Amino acid sequence: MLSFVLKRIASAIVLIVVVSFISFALTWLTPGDPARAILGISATDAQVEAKRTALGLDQNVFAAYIGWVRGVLTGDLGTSWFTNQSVADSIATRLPVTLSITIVAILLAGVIGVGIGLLAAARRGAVDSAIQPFAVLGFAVPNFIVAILLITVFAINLRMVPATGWVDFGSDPSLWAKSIVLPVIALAIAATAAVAQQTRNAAIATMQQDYVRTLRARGLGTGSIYLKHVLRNSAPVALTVLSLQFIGLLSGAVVIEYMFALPGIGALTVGAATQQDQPVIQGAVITVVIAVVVVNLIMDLAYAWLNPKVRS
Amino acid sequence: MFSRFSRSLNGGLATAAIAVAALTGCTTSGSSNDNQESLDLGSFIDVASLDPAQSDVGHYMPFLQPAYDTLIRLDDQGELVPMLATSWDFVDEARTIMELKLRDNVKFSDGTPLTADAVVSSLERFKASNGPRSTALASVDTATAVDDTTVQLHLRAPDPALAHNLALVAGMITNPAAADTDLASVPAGTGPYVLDTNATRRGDVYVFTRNENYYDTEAFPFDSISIRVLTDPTARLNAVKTEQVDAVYGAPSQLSEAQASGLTIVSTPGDWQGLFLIDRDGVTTTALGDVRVRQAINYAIDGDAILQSVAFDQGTPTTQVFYPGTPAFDPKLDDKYPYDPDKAKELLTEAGYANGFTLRMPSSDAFLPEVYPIIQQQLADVGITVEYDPQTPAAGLAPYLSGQYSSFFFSWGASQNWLDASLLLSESGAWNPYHVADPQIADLMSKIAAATGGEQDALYKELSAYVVDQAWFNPFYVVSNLMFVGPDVTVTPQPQQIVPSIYNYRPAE
Repeated sequence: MLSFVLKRIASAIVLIVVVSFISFALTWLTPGDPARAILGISATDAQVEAKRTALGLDQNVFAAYIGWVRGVLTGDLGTSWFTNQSVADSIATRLPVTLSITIVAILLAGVIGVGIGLLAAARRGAVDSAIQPFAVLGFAVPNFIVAILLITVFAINLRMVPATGWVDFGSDPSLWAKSIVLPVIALAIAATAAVAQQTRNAAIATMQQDYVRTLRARGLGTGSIYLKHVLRNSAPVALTVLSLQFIGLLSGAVVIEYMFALPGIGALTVGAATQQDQPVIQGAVITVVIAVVVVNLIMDLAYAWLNPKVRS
Repeated sequence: MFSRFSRSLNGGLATAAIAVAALTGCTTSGSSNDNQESLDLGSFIDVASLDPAQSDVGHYMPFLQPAYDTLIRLDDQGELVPMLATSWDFVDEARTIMELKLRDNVKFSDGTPLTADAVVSSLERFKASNGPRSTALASVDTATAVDDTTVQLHLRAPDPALAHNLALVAGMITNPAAADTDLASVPAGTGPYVLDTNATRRGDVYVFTRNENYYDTEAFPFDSISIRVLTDPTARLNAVKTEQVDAVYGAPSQLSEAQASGLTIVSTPGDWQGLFLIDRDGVTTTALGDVRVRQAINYAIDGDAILQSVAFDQGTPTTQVFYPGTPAFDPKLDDKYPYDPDKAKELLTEAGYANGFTLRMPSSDAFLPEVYPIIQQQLADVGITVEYDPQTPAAGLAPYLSGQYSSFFFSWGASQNWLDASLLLSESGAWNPYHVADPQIADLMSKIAAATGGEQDALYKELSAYVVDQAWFNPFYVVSNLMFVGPDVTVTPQPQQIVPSIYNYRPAE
């Protein structure tokens, strides 16, 4: 198991190096002039030239990348060119926001999605037919449409939750819950639908296996069959969908963070990308790559736990 | 149609509402801010730096004004009034020595007194900082402290914009004792408020509380000021509708929704939007070297129609580059180029372009993308072919200033006349990228620099008339800056600034 984890970490490091270089080079080579953008409309050409030198924009892409890597190895992610804020600080304050909404959303999607999927598989017939259209609809409606409806009804008309903004869990857990409830629902609906669909199909397939018939024949209770055997054997499918959905949620969170004015990583990354704020883009890219690697690692460990065959 | 839809939606989602209420453990709003002791603003963009030396103006001003008083203040009529300086006069005939008298009871937020030496050191630091507005003090050769409350600025040449600049970031006096601290994140000035670093989250919300050492606390009715960064226009509108904030910058497309929500709309002239015809010597596009061609373009574009379609009629058609109400602005000039495609074709024929010519321009999806096809169509109607090179948002200002294009569409925030003339019209101006030298403009500008009062105003008008006649630009209209304001505060707009200064807000009666 340990060597499995070590191998995954080694491949993660290679992935981070490759992805960070590609994103660095793409940003660096995109036509544009961050020095002029920082200094605005009143600056002289000489000022812009001095700024370019100060930012190191006069280097070639390899020299600049190596300089950036040196900084990272000493724990220095740099400072935003546009807001003069430490990249490490802004990621540290923004990561909890994005993780709050995505992790709560994926937990909801997991619990509700698996529940609905199992229910549809177990009951089939009318229950299944009733759930199917909702699952398709939930998957098809974009999260920003859901967000607009939620904001209009619950924040503007009913004034039950704030329309925008974020409250730290540490400063007030109940306000924190209120600040994320709508974003979480907007994010979770499509993921729930996807998980429900896949769980249903996997559970139906499992139930047609011979051993389930044998279990029934031996007189095991229905509840025990579903929860112990069908769920466990359908779980890898649900987990795969959940891990893919989680990675999808990280990108879906961008739009949601904008609409709810949540200071998360997504909003930070998009803002930085449109301005060519190289240090921030790099910091955000590394963070997201690490998040994806960690999620995949957790999923692999969960597979191994569920299925002893994977461990060997 | 819509109201029926939303009614049935409300009914249909009632059950879900109960579920949300149960989940959050609350059924009434805890988000609205009824406390009139606090001024809560929503900003379109995050502040780049809380250090005035590294900050631009416009949207950034409300972030800096709480912590930094300026030497001179621009009031809500655009007039210069005392702030840290009680007077500012040129003491020599050539108008190259400005003497400022300082208020004698001012302290920095750490309690140390504001002295002439501190002002000199702040101005020197600003000038040396290579920030967005460093050129504001480019004309200043030396600054000296004559005595504890008197500062003299010795200029290389007369600078009619100096006093105006001292009312913006250049005039924000930074505590010399804090010069080596992280001023980008923690301001150190003489303003009425100080940054509450515990309640502030950079990139999200900035909170200011009263500066206990301030000299004129009564002038500021709010005990605290908060500014939230609300980049998304819908989020901004939602925040002010639900009283999370008191006022936000609004988009013309949202006007009817804001009105329907009972918000107060405050409007003031903003940017002019139109074409920069920068290749006036015809270096890249020979045709633009002919004044008749540039005038033809002015006749060919229906600015009023563009105003209606892209800015929802929130603005006024214009032909001139100077800000409405300033000395250089002359309402009569706005009748100079009515929409007249026949006249445009006539002028093009006279200039030898009866069969038209091709203009290559940059286009951008980042800002008013809908304007480009209209320009293309209207110029095609008089025989001018426009070809666009689409630019990425990251390209920023480079395509405009590189001289790669002989003309382009742009949105210009006009301010003080001399600043605009220096940037747009003078041979060395950054926004005269082909560095066209016009002797008439040079002559008028040197006369303006030496003149004062009514004589200077008349010269400014002459300059504007000349530029309109020469058709160096093709301004379509001046768009209105809108603020959507909630019930708890009142605000007067700030001329030449996209959002109001913090001084312009008062608690509602």
